[in-house]
Amino acid sequence: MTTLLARIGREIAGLFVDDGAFALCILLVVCAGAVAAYFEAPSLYVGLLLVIGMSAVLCESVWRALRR
Amino acid sequence: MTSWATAWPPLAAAFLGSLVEVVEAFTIVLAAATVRGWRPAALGTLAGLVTLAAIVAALGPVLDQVPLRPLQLLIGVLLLLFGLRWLRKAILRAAGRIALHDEDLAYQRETLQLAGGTAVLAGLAALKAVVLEGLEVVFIVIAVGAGHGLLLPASLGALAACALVLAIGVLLRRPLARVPENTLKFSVGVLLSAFGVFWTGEGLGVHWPGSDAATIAFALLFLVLGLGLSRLAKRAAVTA
Repeated sequence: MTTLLARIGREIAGLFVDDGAFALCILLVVCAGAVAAYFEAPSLYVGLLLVIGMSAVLCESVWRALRR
Repeated sequence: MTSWATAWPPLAAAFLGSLVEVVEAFTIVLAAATVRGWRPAALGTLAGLVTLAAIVAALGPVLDQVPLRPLQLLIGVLLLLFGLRWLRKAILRAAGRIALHDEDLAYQRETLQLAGGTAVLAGLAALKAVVLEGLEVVFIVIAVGAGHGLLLPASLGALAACALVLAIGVLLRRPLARVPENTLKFSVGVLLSAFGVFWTGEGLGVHWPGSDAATIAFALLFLVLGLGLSRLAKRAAVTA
C-alpha cells in the first residue's frame, strides 16, 4: 500500500515536473514577478515579465533539448 | 449568468485535456478486460471512480476556504508547470526528439504484464489507471475552472470527453490509437500555458489589458511560439 501511495505521489509530482531545470526556470520567473509586484512595479511591467519570461524559458528549454 | 464567450475556453481546454487522459486510462482498462475479463476491469474502474469522487468531495470545501488571490497564484503556477511541460514535450515529439505515445504499444505492453497475473492484479491496474489519469482530469478541471467560478463548464467539458471515449471505445473494443495525441497535447499545452500566465498575473495583482480577453492573446502567442519552435526543431533534427 505504501509503495502504491509513493508511486501515486511520484506520478502526481511527475505531472508538473519532468525536467527539473525547466520547472526551476518557470518558478524563478514567477518569483521575479512576485518580487516586482512586491516592490509595486507597474502592473503592466509585471505582466510583461511573466509573458516574456515564460516564452524565453520555453525557447531555452527546447533549444537545450535539441543540443543534447 | 455565465456567457458562452466566457465558458467556452475552460470547456474546450477541459475537453481536450481530458480526452488525452481518458484515452490513456481506457487503454489500460481495455487491456485488463481483455486478459482477465470485464468483471475485474469494471470493478477496478468503479473503485477508481469512487476514489476520485471522494477526493473531489474532500477537495471542494478546502478550495472554498482558500482566499481568491493565493488560489489564483497557486493554480496559475501549477498550470504553467503542467501546460508548458506538455507544450515542450509536444514540440520535441513533433521534431522526433522524443518518441510519440503509441496506444497500441501501450496496450500490448499492459496486456503482456497482466497476462501472468491474477484477476485482482488486473482490477488493481484498472483502478490505478483510472485514479492517476482521473486525477489529471480533476486537476485540469479545477485549474481551468476554479479561478473564475467556471467549474461547471470545465466539468461538462471533461464529462463530454469521458462519454465520447467510452462510447467510441465500447463500439470499437480496441485501443484508440488514431486519436492525434500529440496534436491534442500541443493544443492543450498552448491553452493551459495561456491560462497559467493569466492566473499567475491575476494572483500577483496584474490588471491585464482587455481583462479575460488577454487569455486569447496569450494563447495566440504560445501557438505561434510553439509552431515556430516545432519547425525549428524539425529543421535541426534533419540537419543533425
